[in-house]
Amino acid sequence: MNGTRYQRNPEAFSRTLPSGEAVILHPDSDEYLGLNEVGAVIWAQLDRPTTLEALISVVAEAFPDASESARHDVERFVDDLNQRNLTRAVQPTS
Amino acid sequence: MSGSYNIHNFGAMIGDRVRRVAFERAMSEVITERTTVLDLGAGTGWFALHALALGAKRVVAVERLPAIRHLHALAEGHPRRDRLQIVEGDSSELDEEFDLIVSDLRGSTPFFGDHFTVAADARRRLLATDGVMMPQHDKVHVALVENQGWWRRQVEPWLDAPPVDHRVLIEQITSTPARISVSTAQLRSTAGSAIALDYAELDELAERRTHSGHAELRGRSGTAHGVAVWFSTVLINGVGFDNGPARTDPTYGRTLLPFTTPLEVAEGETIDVRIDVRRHGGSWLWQWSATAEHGNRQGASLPDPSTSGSGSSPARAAAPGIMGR
Repeated sequence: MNGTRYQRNPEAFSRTLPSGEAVILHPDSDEYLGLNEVGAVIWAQLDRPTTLEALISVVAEAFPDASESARHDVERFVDDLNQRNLTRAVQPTS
Repeated sequence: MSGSYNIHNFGAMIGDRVRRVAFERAMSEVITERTTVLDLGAGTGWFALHALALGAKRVVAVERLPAIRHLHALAEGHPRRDRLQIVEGDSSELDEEFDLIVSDLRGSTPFFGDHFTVAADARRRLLATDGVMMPQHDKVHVALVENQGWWRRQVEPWLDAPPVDHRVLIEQITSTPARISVSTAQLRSTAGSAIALDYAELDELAERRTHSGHAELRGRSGTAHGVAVWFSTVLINGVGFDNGPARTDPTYGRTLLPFTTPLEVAEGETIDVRIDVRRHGGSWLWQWSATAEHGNRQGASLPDPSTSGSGSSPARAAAPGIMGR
């Protein structure tokens, strides 16, 4: 996944809540999904093509107390988003 | 952004002179004494009566709402009453072809109720070969707008209302598209067309769940409270109208997609406005963003499940996570 950029599926409507969490309407199932605060921070970055490294940096900055497993957590989270068709890998623009 | 009409709304539509004259002109260019006409979603049947006046061979007015019952009285004594059939029901029950299908199934934008589904079914099954469907195209336009009146009424009361922070209410208010009046003087950017709808492709429009588009706009110095949305239409080639801010209070109104906090706009700066409109059950959801050189705003008309009763708030966790609601 290194170097690959990811971006939201534009059909996944979402909204950040005052609590810092986010709600997403799944583009296929019409089910509502919730993101916790850490997930919401990552989701906010994914409104444009973003690398995993950039996401990990943002999480480390926003949550200085994040565990050492943050890198693995972010990778697993993005993989989950991809599998749910909420994000997709995008080709770099030339 | 869905709903239904009553005779008061239908009256306002007829009272919109720009709209009425455009439909009159477009219909007069199509209808001859050999033309069969379907007034689809007829309301009180104004299109049907106008088609009769133009001498159409046969006219069917179909409408689900009880407003259609008034057409029996309105058409009574009409010299061509025998050419008119009034159907209170669904157009899916009809089974004949028409030379002209005329309808206006929109709300303040074309994304209204089952507009596309109903029109697509009519076009596919009920429009004769070489028949005419009216309208033919719509364009959805956007511009940044200043609306101090809306902001003062809807948001400001909650900004300084101790003892609690009312941010949750402001977030909910600004996640809800609103119907507003807009004048040209209130625009804080140029206007642009974000979505084009070609009704020759109605089947595809009806199938598509999400309609997306964007417009690159130029800023006009001031404070923007959201994105104003309206539409223009082509009924037949060369005949149409628009509901833009240059018009005074057209019947359709305009939609405001609000910002949670106002956006200061610099003169001449580039602003990319994106809108996505998605079918969800019987209604439409909106998602919007404005990306400027010195800031961006976004919103979506999704409910907050923790306050709407549709689910519990997700657990706070150290690791990023998704929870079903």
